[in-house]
Amino acid sequence: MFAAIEGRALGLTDLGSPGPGLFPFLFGVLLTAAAGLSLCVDLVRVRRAAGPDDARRQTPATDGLGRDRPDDHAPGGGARVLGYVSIAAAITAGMGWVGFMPAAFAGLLAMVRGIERMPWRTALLTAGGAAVAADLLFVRLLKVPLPAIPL
Amino acid sequence: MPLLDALTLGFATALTPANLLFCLIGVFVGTAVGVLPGLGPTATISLLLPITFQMDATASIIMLAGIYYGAMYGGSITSVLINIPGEAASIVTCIDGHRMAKQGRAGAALGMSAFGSLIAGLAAVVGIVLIGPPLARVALQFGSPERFALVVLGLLLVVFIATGSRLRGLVSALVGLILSSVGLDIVSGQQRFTFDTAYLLDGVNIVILAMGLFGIGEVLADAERRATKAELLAAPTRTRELLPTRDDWRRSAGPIGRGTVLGFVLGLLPGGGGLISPFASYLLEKRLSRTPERFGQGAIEGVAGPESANNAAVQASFVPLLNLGIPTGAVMGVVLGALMIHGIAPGPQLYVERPELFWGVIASMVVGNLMLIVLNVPLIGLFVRLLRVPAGILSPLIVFTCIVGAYSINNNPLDVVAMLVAGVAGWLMRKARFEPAPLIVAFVLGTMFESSLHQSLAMGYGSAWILVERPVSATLLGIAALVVAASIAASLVAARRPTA
Repeated sequence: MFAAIEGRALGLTDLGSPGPGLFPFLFGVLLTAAAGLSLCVDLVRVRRAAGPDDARRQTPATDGLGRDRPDDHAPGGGARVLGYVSIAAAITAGMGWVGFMPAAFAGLLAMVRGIERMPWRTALLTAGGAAVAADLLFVRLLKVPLPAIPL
Repeated sequence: MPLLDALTLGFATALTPANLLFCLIGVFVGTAVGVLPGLGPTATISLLLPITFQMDATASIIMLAGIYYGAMYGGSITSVLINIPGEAASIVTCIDGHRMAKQGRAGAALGMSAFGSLIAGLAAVVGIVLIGPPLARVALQFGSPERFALVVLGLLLVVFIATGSRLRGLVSALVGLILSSVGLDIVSGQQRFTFDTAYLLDGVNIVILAMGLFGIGEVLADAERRATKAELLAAPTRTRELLPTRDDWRRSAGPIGRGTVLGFVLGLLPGGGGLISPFASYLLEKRLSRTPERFGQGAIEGVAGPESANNAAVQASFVPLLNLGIPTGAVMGVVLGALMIHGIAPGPQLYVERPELFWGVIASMVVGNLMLIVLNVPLIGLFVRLLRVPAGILSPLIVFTCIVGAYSINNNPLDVVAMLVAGVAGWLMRKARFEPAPLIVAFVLGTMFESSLHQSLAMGYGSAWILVERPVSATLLGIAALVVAASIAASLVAARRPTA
């Protein structure tokens, strides 16, 4: 809906030819309609599945649409997702302050040890090895200007 | 010059020790670059351009060509193993290739990718030799109206990529189309969905979007559902399981043949025809298959066809450049620069004035493709062993590689932030059972849709009749109309059929 509104504001035509907002408007309208239809279809299916004749279909093993639901909620799964995103953002921000190598090492250590609970030795070796290998490959060999350690 | 003499000259040039060495360096560097997400062949060839100043012109073009087709193969390795496309052209390989890896068939996917690429590469060279130059002239008649019609047809077929609900596929595709309109409008220069930030003026980068949706999205979804120390993927243990089976070959023969023809023809077209070839091949194979429901669940045809199309397109893209002096894409633009640095103006006179360069480069493609097989097939076992690395180590390494890859595209931390946003979106899409593949394909086609329409209207002095006046575009639009009519008819028949 935002795309449709924004597209209309940009202008649908421009001197008789398509304006900058025409396609965002059309795509936005179509998306709103398709998403609405998809929601209705799902609601109807869930309601049908919840009917007394077919109550068995709404067991915890199905998603209400009659399909098997994969086990997508391991204990602490949400926290691990949040952890990965936060640490990846911290590596990105940290590269500018402390340089690529320390940020990469600390971030990898936090992921391997903090999130994945691997043994300390494995975590240190993985973090150190990956940070050094990335520095050798990208900075030394391919000359990618990753932020250096500020001195 | 008679064809046999020309080929003899070509192979005599390509097989000199120096040219063999530069070809080997090219395919090796290309494969490595393809494996690394972010750093694509355009950037690598640009980086290596100064090195070629001191080299012989033929050797430099042989090396740059090797980087290009080597990168195309390398990109498929990470697509299959860890669901991160090394190149934009490898995105479609993620769909079935990675699913095969999850089923313990990574070796078969990588093997078919390598052999399919080899067969397509060799067939494309034969095509270049026999019909390349005249076909390139015909391809130049394929202007903006024809490209627009082709994109419309592609957009109509894009929802068929989805393995689940077509309606959800349509929603995904429409999100991709809206994302493709982010940035400056190509005609008026007005900002669209940039939120007044300079970063979004150039639009969304396809590689960043793909790395986020496929790579980060997959890691996040996996992190949420698995126990901490579970294995990420099943890895085969016996050597026999590492290579494609007889049944794989039987299933892949047709897709490889069709992918090669499709890729070769699309690769000749200017304006990104090569980029859409793997997507077009995937759609074609899914439409032709008697069991389309296998696509997206680890169908080897979904790897063999697109990978063949991809490699054939790369080789074919050299034909318009060398014969007519017209680069069909960014990489060919950089190669054109390399030729001009050496004082060579590519065009119809090239194979009269510099036959050793023209035929040497063509012959080197045969040699380079064979080198790729020799280099990569023995390494398939090693690549597959990577899957035995515990998820607790592999997932952080994937996230880290994506961060470095995204940063290295423009040396801009905002690219990493954009990739993380795309990654979270990819994770949420998986949770809501929306597939990222239609989004990416629609995004690629969407960028071409608007530009080709505006160019067509400019060619027709503002009149849209140009789209139906030209025979090729009219035919393609007619096929598109038939697709719509057939889909509506099929839906009506299905709705009237009594349920069992």
